[in-house]
Amino acid sequence: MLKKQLVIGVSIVLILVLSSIFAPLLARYNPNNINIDDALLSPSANHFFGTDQLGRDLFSRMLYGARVSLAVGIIAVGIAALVGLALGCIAGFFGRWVDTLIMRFLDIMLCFPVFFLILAVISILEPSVFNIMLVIGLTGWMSTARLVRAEVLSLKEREFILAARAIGASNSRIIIKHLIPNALGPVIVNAVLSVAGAILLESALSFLGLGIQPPTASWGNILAESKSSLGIAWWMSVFPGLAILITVLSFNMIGEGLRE
Amino acid sequence: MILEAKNLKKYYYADQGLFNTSKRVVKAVDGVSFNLQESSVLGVVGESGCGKSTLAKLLLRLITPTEGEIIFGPAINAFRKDAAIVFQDPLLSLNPKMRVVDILAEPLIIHRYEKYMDRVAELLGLVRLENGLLRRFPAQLSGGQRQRVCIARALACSPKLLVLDEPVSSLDLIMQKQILDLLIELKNKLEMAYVFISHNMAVVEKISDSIIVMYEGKIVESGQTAEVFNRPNAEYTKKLLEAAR
Ligand SMILES: Nc1ncnc2c1ncn2[C@@H]1O[C@H](COP(=O)(O)OP(=O)(O)OP(=O)(O)O)[C@@H](O)[C@H]1O
Ligand SMILES: [Mg+2]
Repeated sequence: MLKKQLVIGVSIVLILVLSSIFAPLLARYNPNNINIDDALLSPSANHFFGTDQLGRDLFSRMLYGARVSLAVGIIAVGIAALVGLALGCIAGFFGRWVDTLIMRFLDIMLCFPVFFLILAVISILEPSVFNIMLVIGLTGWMSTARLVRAEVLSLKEREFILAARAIGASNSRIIIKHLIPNALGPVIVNAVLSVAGAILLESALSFLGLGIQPPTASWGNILAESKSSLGIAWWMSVFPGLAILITVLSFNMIGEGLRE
Repeated sequence: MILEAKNLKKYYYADQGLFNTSKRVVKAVDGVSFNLQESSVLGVVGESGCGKSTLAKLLLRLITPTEGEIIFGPAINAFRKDAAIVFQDPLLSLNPKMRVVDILAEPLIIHRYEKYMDRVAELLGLVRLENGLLRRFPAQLSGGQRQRVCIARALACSPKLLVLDEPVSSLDLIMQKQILDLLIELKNKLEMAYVFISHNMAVVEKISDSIIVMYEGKIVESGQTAEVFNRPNAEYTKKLLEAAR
């Protein structure tokens, strides 16, 4: 049952990733090509998902938007996982004041609602794709760090770590070769589960106009642009909304499947 | 002399509880002294919990003594190469995420051996493991094979001193005899000194030149193996010998 979940999740994500990579082949129009004569056309054989207020082909914009949304989701989570892994390992392994310092810093980070932290940072920095990845990543490492720290605390008491010391392994070698490989499982599950959250976060930011800036398409800002035509062009909100929903669901399915 | 322990002590302080601020002292090792000559075997016997593993970790400098000192002879200079240990439970002392080949290569890489794969092949031969096992993970080996991997890893840098903490106690009787014979053979071939720890008198008798008997962290009897077995002085030694019969 859970294996099925994993297969379905991976297949959908694979299809999404492939279609975003091959967007130039699959899209029949330039995603940023404005053609006012074709504004707000409903879905048809020419425009699978219809067009927006500026007459841009929604299907093409969704394909290119997938690149941004998926990249932001995956890379932001990658950053969060790396930071969490490093800090969690260091805290758990060295203990004492290093641990106290890192854990208090973590508590401080948790005091701020992440979304407002991101809003604050983005309003200072310019909202480029890179900055958005970075900010989402740097505000999302705390759960991973906690997880890894707990894992390392129990791992470092195991006898194979003592055996590594006995043959002369250095601290860095013990961390990299012995602790991290054994703590990685839950980190990966946690990362996959948070990709969905990061994609939603990017969408929410874009929806508020603080995320990916037009004309670059992301699912979030396509959805944002649909606000003004909500009553007359259902396709502008339904397709990006569905895309986000399906992606979030499939990453969650992969995460749950991997948890096994 | 390769190793001399002088009045070694290791105390652990355990908290009594939330409101009781006094600490309970566990005297895991409590004043142990002995000498070990080059290429000879010192057997350490005693019941479970008498401090044998703690002594082993002290000798390998994996924990610091509360008191006392350990002096190594001139044969020991690069400590992590010249002194090695085989732990009680082979499964616990192998990283579950590393393949046999990486486990055996690790000490060689750490100590910058060139052509370490040749040495890995040599080590496999020494402990009689097949080449086919190199790609396996510890969980995919039998208990006997795992202990051979642990022994091979310990031998990697040609140590002069090998501490063996109950190396056969987790194995069945046939495996015990095989590993014991292997250890005796290796010792003669490679000219190592052993500190051989066991709770089993019969096993220790077979391999040791001299013996110390431990009880609650202290040595209650020591001497040449034959002497201790033929004319035990301490009541506790007699009891252990009774039990072994
Ligand atoms: N890290 C530790 N903290 C507190 N107490 C410890 C610690 N390690 C060992 N002890 C205690 O020290 C005593 C000796 O333990 P040790 O493991 O050396 O015994 P052992 O002779 O090896 O026993 P066994 O034959 O069961 O392996 C035990 O009472 C044990 O509970
Ligand atoms: Mg023990």
